[in-house]
Amino acid sequence: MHRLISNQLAKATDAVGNFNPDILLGLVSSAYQQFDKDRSRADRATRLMIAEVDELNRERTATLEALATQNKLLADFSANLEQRVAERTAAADAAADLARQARDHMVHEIEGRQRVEEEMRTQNRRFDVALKNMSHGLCMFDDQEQLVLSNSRYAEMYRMPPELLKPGTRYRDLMAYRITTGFMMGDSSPAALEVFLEQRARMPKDVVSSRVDEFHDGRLICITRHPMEGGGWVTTHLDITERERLNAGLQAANKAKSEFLATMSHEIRTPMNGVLGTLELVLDTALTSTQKMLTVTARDSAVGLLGILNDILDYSKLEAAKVELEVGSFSPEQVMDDVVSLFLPMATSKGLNIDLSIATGLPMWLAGDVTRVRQVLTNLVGNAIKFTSHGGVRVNSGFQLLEDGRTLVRFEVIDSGVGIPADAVERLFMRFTQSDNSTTRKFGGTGLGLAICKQIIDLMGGRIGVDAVASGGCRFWFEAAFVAGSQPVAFPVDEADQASCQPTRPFSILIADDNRVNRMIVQMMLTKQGHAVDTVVNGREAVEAVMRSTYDVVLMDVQMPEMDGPTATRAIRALVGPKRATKIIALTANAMPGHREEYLGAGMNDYVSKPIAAKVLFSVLNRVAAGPASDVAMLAKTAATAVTIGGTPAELMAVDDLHLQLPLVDSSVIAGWSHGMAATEVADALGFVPDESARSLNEIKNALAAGDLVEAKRIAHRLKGMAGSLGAVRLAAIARSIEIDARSIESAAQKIDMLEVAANETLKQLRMSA
Amino acid sequence: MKAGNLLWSPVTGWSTPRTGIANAQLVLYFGTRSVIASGDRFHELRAMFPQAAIVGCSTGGQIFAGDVSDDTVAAIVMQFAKTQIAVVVQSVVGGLTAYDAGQNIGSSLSRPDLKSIFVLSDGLLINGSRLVAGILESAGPHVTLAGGLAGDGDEFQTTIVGANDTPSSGRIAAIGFYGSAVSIGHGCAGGWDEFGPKRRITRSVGNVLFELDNKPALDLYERYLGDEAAGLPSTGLLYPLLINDPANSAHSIVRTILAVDPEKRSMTFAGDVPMGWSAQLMRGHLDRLADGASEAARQASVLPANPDSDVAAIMVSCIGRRLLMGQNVIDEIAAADASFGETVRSVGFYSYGEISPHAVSGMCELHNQTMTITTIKEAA
Repeated sequence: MHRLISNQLAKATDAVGNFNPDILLGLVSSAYQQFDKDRSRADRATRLMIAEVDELNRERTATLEALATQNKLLADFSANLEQRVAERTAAADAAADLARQARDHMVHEIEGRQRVEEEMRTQNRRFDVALKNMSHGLCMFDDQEQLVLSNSRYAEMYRMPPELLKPGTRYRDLMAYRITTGFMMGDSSPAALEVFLEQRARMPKDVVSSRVDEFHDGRLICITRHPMEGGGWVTTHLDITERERLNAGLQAANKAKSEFLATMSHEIRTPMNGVLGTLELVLDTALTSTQKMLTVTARDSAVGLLGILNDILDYSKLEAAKVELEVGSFSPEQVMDDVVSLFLPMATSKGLNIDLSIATGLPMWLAGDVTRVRQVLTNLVGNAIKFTSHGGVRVNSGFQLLEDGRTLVRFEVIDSGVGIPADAVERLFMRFTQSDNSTTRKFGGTGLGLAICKQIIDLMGGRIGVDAVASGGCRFWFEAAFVAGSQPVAFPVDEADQASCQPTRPFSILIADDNRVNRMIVQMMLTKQGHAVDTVVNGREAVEAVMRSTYDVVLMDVQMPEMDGPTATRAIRALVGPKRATKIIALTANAMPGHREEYLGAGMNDYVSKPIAAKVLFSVLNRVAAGPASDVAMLAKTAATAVTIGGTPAELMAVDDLHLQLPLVDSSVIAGWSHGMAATEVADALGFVPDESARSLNEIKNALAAGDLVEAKRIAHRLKGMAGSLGAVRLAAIARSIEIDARSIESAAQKIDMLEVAANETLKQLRMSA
Repeated sequence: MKAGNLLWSPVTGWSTPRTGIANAQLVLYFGTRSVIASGDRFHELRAMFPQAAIVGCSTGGQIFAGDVSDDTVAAIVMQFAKTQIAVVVQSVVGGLTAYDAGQNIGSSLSRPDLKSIFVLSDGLLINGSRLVAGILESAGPHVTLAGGLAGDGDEFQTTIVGANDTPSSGRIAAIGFYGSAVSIGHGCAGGWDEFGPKRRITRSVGNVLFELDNKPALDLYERYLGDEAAGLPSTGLLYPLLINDPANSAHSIVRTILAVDPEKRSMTFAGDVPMGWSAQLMRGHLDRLADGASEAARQASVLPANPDSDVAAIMVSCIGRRLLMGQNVIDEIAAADASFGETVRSVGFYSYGEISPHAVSGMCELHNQTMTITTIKEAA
């Protein structure tokens, strides 16, 4: 500062030493301004610098933050990248795994294929060996009718030249060779080839077919053709010459044996009937108690023997193929119901339960031989009860609709009896076999029952068998296919009667029906109409009830246990007094045309078909109740002797013999139709009777001897018609019972003697009356 | 060698030269443009020193005898015993680039015994950095180079250079010193302190700076100058720019402003402002500037003393320093003078750019905002 002031003073002083204070003041002022400016610049610069540095710091912070964010993003990205790399690596590993698995799979597949090929080679080798060594000749053709393969047996069989058996040979050429060399149908003319091929073209291609060719050298070759999928076929050729020769011999022998047995049985039965009838007659005489006991024993033995004979006869005929199945509509439910009802008393007496279970939806009507079905079921249920001492017997049913529209019905009989050893099952259905010899001793029987059943079911194309039941006892069953049946046509009801449904007055009515449900339904129908109703469960009770009380009408079921409707009706008609004229209406499911005569023939006034329609029932009821009294005159002829009610089954079996007590001839009948005819004309009209009667009798005998029940029944029907028109009541009744009642040859045969006696006596009486 | 100094003032005219220098070979004169532009002063000097090469330029103030003055002319006269000199003048008015001009100068002066070159150049039309590079390129690395750019006070209108003629604009004059006898010393120091953040030169072409940190450089200066922005470009000198080569952080140069273009928001500096270099504002402090001058003088006067030879000292200080220091510039001059011995005859001027070897690297280059001192003497 000192230097500055000196400098300023120097400048304020001129060269001659004059001091100018204004200059000095100016310089000083300028210096101060200079200092102020410098300070203010410094302040400004500092302030700006600080501001700038602050700004930069902010920017730097922001940048750092941005950097940090970026770093974080980068770190995240890097981490993400690592994860993605890990994921990619995992994906690549997975892909590699897949590839490895695919390769393993492929290796496995190839190995599998190799194994299969090896197996196929082995199979082919086995197939070749089998083909070469089989007893059948075999050849295969493709869908172009060209040979694919054949075996050596085929070549031998037809002596074929090897060049013909090369694959690709036309079927036609092979056939041409066989026909021209005579190895075909016996006809070796060239035209035969065209005939054969034409026939063959008409045959269905997609089914197995068989034929037997007889060659000019006498060989029989069974040729079976099996279609192959996708066209083509295989034929097998078996030389059956020897087998057929043996079979034919065996069949002939067996048939001869069966015929012998049938004849023998029949021959034995005739005297047996004589023995039985005689014993019955003896029992009707005054006997001491010892005599009666011995005679009853003899009769029971005879009855037993007759049963055995019947079995043998039945079986023999079946085996000799002398039995043909009949076809008619039947209700399987009704059959089971009938059979169970039949055995109810026997089961009850042994303290056994007997149950019936009908499968839901079981068809109401089927077409088949109801007699045979009932026979089998009866046999099985009878056996079940026979071999069961505790518990009970259950009858089950089941069914299955088959593709061909038929219904396969299965019947089962389950018992809680002694059971059957497993090793006995196979023998069970063979003739003369029971599960062991002791069975026969204990339970009796021929041991033919099941063999007969098997024959019958075989005849139906069904199956029969037995299984053990876990709880003990066994289950016998059989099944057979039936076509659908139709409900039997009900007889048209007179339209005029349709109106008369309203009761004319309250009736006193007895219902005899073993089926509880039927009883209840009919009872409800009637009580609603104001009728008084009693119910019983079988024919025997019905007869007893009629004897006890007075009824306007009896509604009589046909099939009932203990005593069936027709039998009970005959019994009532045989009563003494006005009750014999009690009006009886049949309740029947057997509404076939032929049965009408049966029921009316038994003395019933009318009938109503099951299922029962109320309108029809009431209409018939009114008609019968309001109608004329039963033809007591005719009825009287049918009941010359009272029937003992409540006897043993053996006694009931003898009911048929009541025919013997019927009057021989009702003269009013001939009188009826011969009214106004000259006596000679009547005599002429009757002239054919003896011959005709004798002829019919012989034909029936022959038919039965030949085991032809149907034929016997047909002739019996013819005889019955002739007898009826003559008023030959007894003869007609016996002929009718053969026609209608006989279920078997033996039951018909039982009646032959009676028929013969009745015919002779009728002719005698007619001659006398003439 | 004999040296003497003279001062011309409008009031007193030329001072009387000392005796024994009438046969001087070289006269350097520095004067305010209005005073020398007519050529009268040259002719007066020519009359006084008829054998000498007379080279001078316009200035931002004369330094003479411990003081600074305007509207004066300061001259230094050298009469060598053994040393030869050569003078070359180059005009750039025809469109010659500063670098090419420098090359011409260097090759013109180049001789095996060329020791040193002292150059005075137009201060506004010439890129001093390119000029220095051009001279050094052609003169060779062993030659030291010093000098300065002519000034125009705080006008920044026209600078003029004269070499044995009337000074005019767009010229460069250079003196070559030959022979082993001549000994030339250099001192260069600033005393400016950088402040505030370091910025990056993001856009520049040669010595024209457009952007710092992607913002117009002129904005920065206007903000810092505040009211004084109205005085641009001269007030720009208050804040010289320290630029730094990022490839060589020890090498930093101070740049001073010569012109501004308010339209383009650009600023023209006395030397290159290369793109990518860092830049930092500087401000001066009175004491520190004076210390810088003292340091420069100390560097320049390391020469061994020779009782038979005078020493001529030429101080070239930046106009920016004077602008900042105001009347206190006498402190820096005093500080420099104090370092000289009694045998030293000194003159100086305030310039638009100083040329001197770098204090650290020794490389000759253009400086700004420095006080450079060149001493010349002859060995015995």
